[in-house]
Amino acid sequence: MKISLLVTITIILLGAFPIYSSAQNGTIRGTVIDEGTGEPLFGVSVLVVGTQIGAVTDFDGDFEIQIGAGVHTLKLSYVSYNTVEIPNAKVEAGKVLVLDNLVMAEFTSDLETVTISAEAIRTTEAALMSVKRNASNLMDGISSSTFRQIGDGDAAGAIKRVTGVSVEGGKYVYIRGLGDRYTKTVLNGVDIPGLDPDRNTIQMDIFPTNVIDNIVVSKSFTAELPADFTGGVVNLETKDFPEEKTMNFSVSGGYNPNMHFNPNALSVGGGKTDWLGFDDGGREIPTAGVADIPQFPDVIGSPNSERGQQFQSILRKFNPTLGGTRQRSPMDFGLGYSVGDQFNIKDKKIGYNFALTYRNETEYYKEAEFNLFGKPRTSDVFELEALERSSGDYSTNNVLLGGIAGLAYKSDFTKIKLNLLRIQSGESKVAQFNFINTNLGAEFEADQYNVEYSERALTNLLLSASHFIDGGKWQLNWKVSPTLSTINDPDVRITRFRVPTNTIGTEVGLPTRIWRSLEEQSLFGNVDLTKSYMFNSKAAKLKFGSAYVYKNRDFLIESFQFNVGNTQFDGDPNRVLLEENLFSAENRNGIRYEPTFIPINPNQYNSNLANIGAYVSNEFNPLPNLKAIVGLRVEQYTQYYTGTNQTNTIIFDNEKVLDDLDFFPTLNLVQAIGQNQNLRLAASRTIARPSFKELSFAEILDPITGRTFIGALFPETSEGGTEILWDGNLQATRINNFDVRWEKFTGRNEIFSASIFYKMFDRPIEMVQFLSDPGSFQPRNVGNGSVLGLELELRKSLDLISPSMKNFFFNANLTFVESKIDMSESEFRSRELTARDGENVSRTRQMAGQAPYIINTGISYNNMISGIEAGLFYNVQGSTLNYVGFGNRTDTYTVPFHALNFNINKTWGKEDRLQTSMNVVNLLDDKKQEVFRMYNAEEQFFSSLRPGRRVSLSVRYAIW
Amino acid sequence: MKKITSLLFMFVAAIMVLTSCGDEETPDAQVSITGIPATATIEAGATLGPVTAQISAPDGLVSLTVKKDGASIDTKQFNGATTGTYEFTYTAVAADAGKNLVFEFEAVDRDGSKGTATHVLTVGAAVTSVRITSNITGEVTWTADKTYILGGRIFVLNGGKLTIEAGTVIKGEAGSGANATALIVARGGQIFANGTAQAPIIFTSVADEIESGMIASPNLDPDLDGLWGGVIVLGRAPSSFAGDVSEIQIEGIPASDTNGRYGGNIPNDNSGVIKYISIRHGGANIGEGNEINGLTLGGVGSGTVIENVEVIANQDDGIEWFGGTVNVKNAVVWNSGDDALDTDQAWSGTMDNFIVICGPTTDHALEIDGPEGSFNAAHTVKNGTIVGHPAAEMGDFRDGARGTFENLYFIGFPDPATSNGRGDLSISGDKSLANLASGVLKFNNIQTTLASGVALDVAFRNGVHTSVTAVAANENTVGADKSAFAGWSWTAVAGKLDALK
Repeated sequence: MKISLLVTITIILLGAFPIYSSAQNGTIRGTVIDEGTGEPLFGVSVLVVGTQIGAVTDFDGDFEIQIGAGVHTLKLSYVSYNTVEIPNAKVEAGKVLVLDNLVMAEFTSDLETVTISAEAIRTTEAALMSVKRNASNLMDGISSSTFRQIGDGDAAGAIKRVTGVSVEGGKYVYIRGLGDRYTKTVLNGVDIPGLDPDRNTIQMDIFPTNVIDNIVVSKSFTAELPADFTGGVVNLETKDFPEEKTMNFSVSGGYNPNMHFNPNALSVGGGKTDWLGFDDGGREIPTAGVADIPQFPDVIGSPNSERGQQFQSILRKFNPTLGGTRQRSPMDFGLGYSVGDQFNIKDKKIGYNFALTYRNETEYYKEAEFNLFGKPRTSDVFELEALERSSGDYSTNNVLLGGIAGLAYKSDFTKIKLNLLRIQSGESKVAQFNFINTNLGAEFEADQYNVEYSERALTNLLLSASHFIDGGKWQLNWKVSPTLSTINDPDVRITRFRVPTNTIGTEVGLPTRIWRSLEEQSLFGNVDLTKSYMFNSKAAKLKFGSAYVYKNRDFLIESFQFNVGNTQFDGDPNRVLLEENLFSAENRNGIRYEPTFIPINPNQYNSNLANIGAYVSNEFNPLPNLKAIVGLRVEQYTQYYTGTNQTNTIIFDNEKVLDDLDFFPTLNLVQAIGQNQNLRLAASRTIARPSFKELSFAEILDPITGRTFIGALFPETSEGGTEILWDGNLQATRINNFDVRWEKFTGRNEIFSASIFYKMFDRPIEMVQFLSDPGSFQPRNVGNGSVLGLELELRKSLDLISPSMKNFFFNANLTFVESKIDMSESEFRSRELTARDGENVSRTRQMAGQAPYIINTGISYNNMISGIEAGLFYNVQGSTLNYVGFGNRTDTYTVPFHALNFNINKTWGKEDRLQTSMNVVNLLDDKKQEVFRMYNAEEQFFSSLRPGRRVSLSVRYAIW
Repeated sequence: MKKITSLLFMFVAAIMVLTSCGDEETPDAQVSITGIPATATIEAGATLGPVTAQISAPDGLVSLTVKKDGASIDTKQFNGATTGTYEFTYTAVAADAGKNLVFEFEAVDRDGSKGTATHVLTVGAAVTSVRITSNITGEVTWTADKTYILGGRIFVLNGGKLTIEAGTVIKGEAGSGANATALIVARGGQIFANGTAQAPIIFTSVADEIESGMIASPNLDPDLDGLWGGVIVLGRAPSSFAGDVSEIQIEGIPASDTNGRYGGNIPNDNSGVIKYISIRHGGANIGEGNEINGLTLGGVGSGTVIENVEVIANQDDGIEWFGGTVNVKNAVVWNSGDDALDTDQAWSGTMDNFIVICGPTTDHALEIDGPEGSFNAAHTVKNGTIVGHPAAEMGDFRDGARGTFENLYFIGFPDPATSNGRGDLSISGDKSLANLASGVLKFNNIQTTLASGVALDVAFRNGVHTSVTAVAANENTVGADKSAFAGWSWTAVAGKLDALK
């Protein structure tokens, strides 16, 4: 159904485009950019020297010329700008010559003509550099011209090349080491929920690079951006008008010797449509449609009554597969298809693009460890105490199917873009662990079996338009974008047998089944007006506008546990729910289900929010070499909650849980120093708001870790209720941001910059353990925090070593951060109570989730003539506090993961139709680890995974 | 109640209309009675009223007589006043159930004129069950003539006082995990469950058809567990918590419910009296290590009296102590799903005279843990008879276990060598072993009857065997006095104690 829609669109698109180009003629398409502002130049005349043929750039700076095959010279002229000449533009019949990113500078001498070779235009990232140099706010990015050269197949791979960015798990982007809460990812400027709506960031690996025009990372706030970012905003802009007609097929395969073709990998029979990334309905909850679910005590006295039979029938609908089987694991593979073009219908330009991506990836982790260690009770013991240890192996199979379709229309003064995005993914996980519990009050060993499936889907529609009014003096932009996002975890299954007796009981935990579902609808709309004018004889802009965001989320968890009565087991998880073991009239103390979510379910809730924003922003030059952006944004944000606590004593019916009116002033100054240096200064206020889940009464037990997430609406008291540890009143965090950056652009594509940033957090939100129950975590406002960072960036050609090395670039981005949080009184007391002898407990600590340093560095090689691009990249993130310890639990930290990756791409043939690439990930075979730390004690593993080395090969062929 | 008020109102209105119409000119002034409803319906055991009768007698009122079904039940004298009032109330007894009671009110004035009013009270069947859905504050009494249904997690809150009459049956509704039904005495609340040997108080599931006066369940086997939660008492006595915090959340209650906290610094804290109670078919599991036991005692102080307790077929432990100072006398645990007796967090009271009958799912008869924080205290467990099962272990003493264990008799446990190490009593961990060596953990006068061929040091490991004497089956000279359980416990009534000495 979902796919058929996409297929229909493809057919329409493929069938509808007219074949325009005549046999003898070729096409030149290009974009002209103002070097001074980094923005497109409107009205530049482009002439083919020696002919009458020419064009004028439109508001996007785009032009198009149809001309006979041959070698031509183009001449670009614009009032008060230096004329640019491009000789040797080779036009072939029926082909498109793309000359994007033609830069024009304001005139320096009447006679000066700048000559650029057509070859050079194709090979630089000059445009983006130019944007970067001149942008008023701090931004970095990567554009489609780069994607064309390098082999990054998806946005996650590409964005790694942007400075100050780290990619977690190959999917999620973090800026300057700030955690997910402080980084935001948007698509075409629209806030869309990702496949994991609890995160601010969209999974980046779902976007193939051939549908992306550019990715821009803004690290400083300007008033037209949403205020809820602190570290930065990543914006993925999809293409509207492909420069040339393209149709690509790609095939890729990935092999990891640790994970693939392993005969001992785990797998489980799933649904018939698992290979498409969604469940076929076979994992549906057995109580679907049952209004009044019978419980065991209702039917124990009368198993064969109507209700008893209903109970027995539901019981027998639970899938009896509780464990995986050992099977050889397949390797990864992927397929891609994309098509795009632009054509004219009576002066009106139409562009379309469409892409389909399919990926099927398998992971298998051997010797995985997940542990829990605690502080010993006496303060003179300096050895962490093992509480729970689990070790074993697990497999995941992840299928992703995504499609994106775009249609764009451009007339002289209007551009309209329609974009449809649909992504679905399904992940099947099978695990087998040995579990040793020596936690307080328990002591046992068990075999644990997990079978899980998670399906996610995202559908986003975007309609956006730009109108150029009064000869381009005014620009009106508007967007409307609805999104539907769903997550279902149908039938998470956890089973433990005690070792060696193979018994199941409360000590090891009862077999559990969980169904989770989340559905979120959102609507985004905005209107921006920009007025271009001259100030101090420099271009200036006044922008104002308004944005509206509405989100509505329904959340539900239903879980069952199984009391096994007096049933005996042999340790085989798939022989637990045997017919002869199940409750019946003849077997009254047999296995029965217990629905733990009735009658009261705190994990069934609805939340919605509305955020209305308005801003005004002025960009002007108060002094000839000083550019300023001064702006003010205002946001009225309200969030509502419908749900109940576990005892049903607190019932919220669309109750307002957050109501904030905030003003966000912003100031950005750019002082140009000479031709190629800038000094930037930025100051702004931003906000970080709690999520839907955080502002709730939810009590979500993770049966694997035994941890319980508790919504922030619950208070916690101590000392018989006289001391309030948490008042249940979770507030957004206001952040004041300051940035200073000096940057120097030297030569082609080279940069050196140094930034200092300082952020003050007013009571940031962190996950905090309950003092009365260390297994329960709650989001709470903690003490004030601050982040002070230094960021250095260098991109340099190695031609300074030897001219022959001009195609080698050295890249380094280093971020060092010192973060500080004032501990809450309860945290400080808890730390004092459990301090070791000689340990001095400070009242401050580093911020959870904030990396102390990030190093991104690499050497790349780029030879356009041979079509070879290669790079060796190294990334490491300093040990980061991820869980704050409380009571006898101690802090956990990540262990630096030294990622050394290599990639090489080569394009083949005269027309570069064939592109091959190879990626090797984790050359050092490093492990992903987290540890428990205690004063003067040896670290112990919280988790340890060995991802192994992965080699992937991909081939892309351009049919057009 | 609201219904009665509105009936009354209608009645008064009707009388007023009638009286104004029926006014006749006579030399002798009339006597009239208003304010008594013509009819009402209540359930047996419920009380009508009080309603106030207004009597008008211009000639001077002498007396008012109330008759029930023709028999005079009350007379009130008046001293010739022209008006008078009479407060009428009636509590229907069981014998009234299903009847229409006719009450006649007759007022007489000085000249002998009479005014009458009639009330017909329809009495329905007695209320036999009361569903409890909200927490208990103030003083509340549960009586033996009714069955009390726990409709959720019911707390006796701080300052609340729940009295349960002997012979009362309390049943928990279905519910599992965090939805388990339970009776919880929060810190500062008190329970007075004064059962007797003749009329014990029984806590069970709604699935149990047991009625007041019965001991054995008429329809549930004694090994069915997990049908509801359990009974939890929380107090303010010292306990030893991890991280040395002053109070923590009891197992089985989500941390979000702050009524579930226990611990404090009042050693003689008084949570009330629990005598002759039997808790059956309960136990709920929120997550691993987070369960409701049959009887959970968290930080309960020594001012609390707990005597004669029975726990049968609980999904988790029978009785579990989390710190506190309370003493328990006479306890019997049969078919516990996990451990029979479980102690944690430096409980410092005494368990005196107990019997454990292990079932097929029982893990340890005794699971003894040490303090979790730096506060140390120890308990005494004495005079107990522990009957094993092929899958059960005698005991596990661990995590720095401390205390005195004396006059215990173990019988019926399997040979550890042939049962995957079941059937033994072991001291786990260096801290527990050190405590055993230093005498902080000690065993005195232990007797046992082992499976044939099992050596003492195989069953009683880590050196404990030196305190143990082997005796012939039920020839023990130490152990429980089973007479304490005779008559009122299902275990005794089911004959499970017959073979014991």
